Amino acid sequence: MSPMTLSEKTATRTYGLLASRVSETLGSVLRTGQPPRPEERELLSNGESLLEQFIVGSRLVEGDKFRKDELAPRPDAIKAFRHALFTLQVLQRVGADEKVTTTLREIRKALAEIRQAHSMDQIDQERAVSVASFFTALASLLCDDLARTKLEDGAPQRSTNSVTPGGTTSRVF
Amino acid sequence: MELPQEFFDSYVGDCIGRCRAVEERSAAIASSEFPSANPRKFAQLIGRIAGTLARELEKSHPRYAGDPSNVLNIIRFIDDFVQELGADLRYAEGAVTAKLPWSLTRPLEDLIARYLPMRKVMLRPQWKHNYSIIIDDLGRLYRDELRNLIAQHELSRVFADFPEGFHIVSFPSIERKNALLHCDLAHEIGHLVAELFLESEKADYLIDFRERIVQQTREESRDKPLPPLWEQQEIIDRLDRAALIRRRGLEELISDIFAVRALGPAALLALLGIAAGQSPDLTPDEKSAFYPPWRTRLRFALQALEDGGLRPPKPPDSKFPFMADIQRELNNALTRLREIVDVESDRRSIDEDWLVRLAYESISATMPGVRGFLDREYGPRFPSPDSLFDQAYRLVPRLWDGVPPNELGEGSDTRPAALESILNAAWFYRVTFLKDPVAQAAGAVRPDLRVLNRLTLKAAELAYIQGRYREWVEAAKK
Repeated sequence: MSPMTLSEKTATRTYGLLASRVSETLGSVLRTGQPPRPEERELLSNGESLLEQFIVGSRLVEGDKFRKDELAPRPDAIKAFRHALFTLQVLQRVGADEKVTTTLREIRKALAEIRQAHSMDQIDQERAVSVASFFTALASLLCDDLARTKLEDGAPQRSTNSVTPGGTTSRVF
Repeated sequence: MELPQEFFDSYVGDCIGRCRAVEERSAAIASSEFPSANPRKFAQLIGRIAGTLARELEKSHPRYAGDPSNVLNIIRFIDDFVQELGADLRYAEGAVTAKLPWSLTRPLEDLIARYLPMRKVMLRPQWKHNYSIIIDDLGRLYRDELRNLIAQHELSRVFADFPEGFHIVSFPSIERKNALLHCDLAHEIGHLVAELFLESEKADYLIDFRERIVQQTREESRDKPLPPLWEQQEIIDRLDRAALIRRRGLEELISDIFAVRALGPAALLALLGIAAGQSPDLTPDEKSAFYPPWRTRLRFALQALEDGGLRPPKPPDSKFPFMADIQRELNNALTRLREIVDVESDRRSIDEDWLVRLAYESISATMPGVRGFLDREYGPRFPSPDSLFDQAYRLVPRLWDGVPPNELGEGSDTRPAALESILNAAWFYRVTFLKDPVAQAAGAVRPDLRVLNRLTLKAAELAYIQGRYREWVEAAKK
């Protein structure tokens, strides 16, 4: 595993914080029996945007065609999709022959329905639990990534035999 | 794994303590003496963020009992952020006046403002012997992290008076007074230009990469096809790697080309100063952190010099007896460099790995677009070759006499020299008169390398002050 760059670390924390907050919000909606408040809707909307990034990466890898009016894939989408795929694998939510894009679109659709709900009757509780568990698992995986980086940083170093190039937190010559 | 409540309480207490420590340390650092306003603003921003995070930790703590998994994750992400902020304070701590080539700080800021007016750069030393830049806008990175934690109005308060487009450029500490090597800073600024190009280009190459990677992956496993999920994993890894190789290649090549167009031969010679100590043909893979081979970089840089009309022309008429020698020695150096890059061993290193080859084919196809982008966006701001060489040639006699090469003209009819001309004059002097490495360190009658560097730094400072003074006089006349 190559060392995380500064922007990768930031992205890991940013995605992780967002995923945790989305899951916490969904849990709160289910516990209190109240549909999301305006500030919570904004947070859930950010969660949908994150899922959209995953979907772009997933479509690229699966060879889907992009229309001209669509968000074109960026290299970052590949990394983002990797996080989503690991999460689905951990949750055993994707079968060997299943398209990951389909699964991610279902999660995004369920999250959008919760965000738009004005009463609890409009929320499928089982699906809400399922979406929350996706975001909790995603946040936990990202947390593990950060922990691994910290362990790498803290591992004892030998004063000789240092042939590995330094971390690419920035661009050097 | 969730924590028992008492352990969790203790952990949150530690995190809040870290926030307070970062706040205090940032306040202490902000009171240091800096050569520009940027380091102080940076230290103060970190202090404000740490204070905000402490309050968020206090607010998150009571929610643990209701949702331990998510709240613990939130606290851990915040804690990691605080620890990162604490480490980032080292950038401001190192940027104090005494540790910088302070003569160069303000002229460099002016140079950056000419090409990238919306960017701010903070210069700082690092103990590693390398130049580097944090390409990301640090303010934006911090802001993105906070966005999911605090309300917009609070975010605006934290970032009030902090500039957008904030970057940190590092130089090797032991080279603080090496003005000639600091021409490599132009390459670091070039990374910001490279980033603008990469953000602006269409990512159609990714779709092409994907097709080629799927084809190759299926070809490799024709006898025993991979299960779809495994195949997908393989495609992700290879696509990510190819995109990274391409990106890293373009970043370095664009930065080199920009540096050469902005500083002329001085940038190329300073680049060579770093390249000379490293193997020229390393494959751009994980082991070399995906850097393009040096020979490839020098080939593109030399080409940029020639394309930009920056080969040394005939020098101006002068009483100085060695003008023709300067031109001859510079052209000799460029000819020797041409001989190095005419060898094609770097291309073989690239062709060894099909994924590297794929990335570099895309780089080659992109380079005309890069040149067009640089001409279109920065062409009028690059120094004109005629003016650059005329000034640089005329400044060399001052160095010969041990005088800082800060101005042109005589008597009361003088004008400050451009920074680019000063730096080139220094390199012209070195290439012509300091070829013997022993003499470079000995200190004879004429300036040796050590004195040359000091004269160059002083000239940059004097020219900057003189330029500002003239602006002030002109403004006062109006």
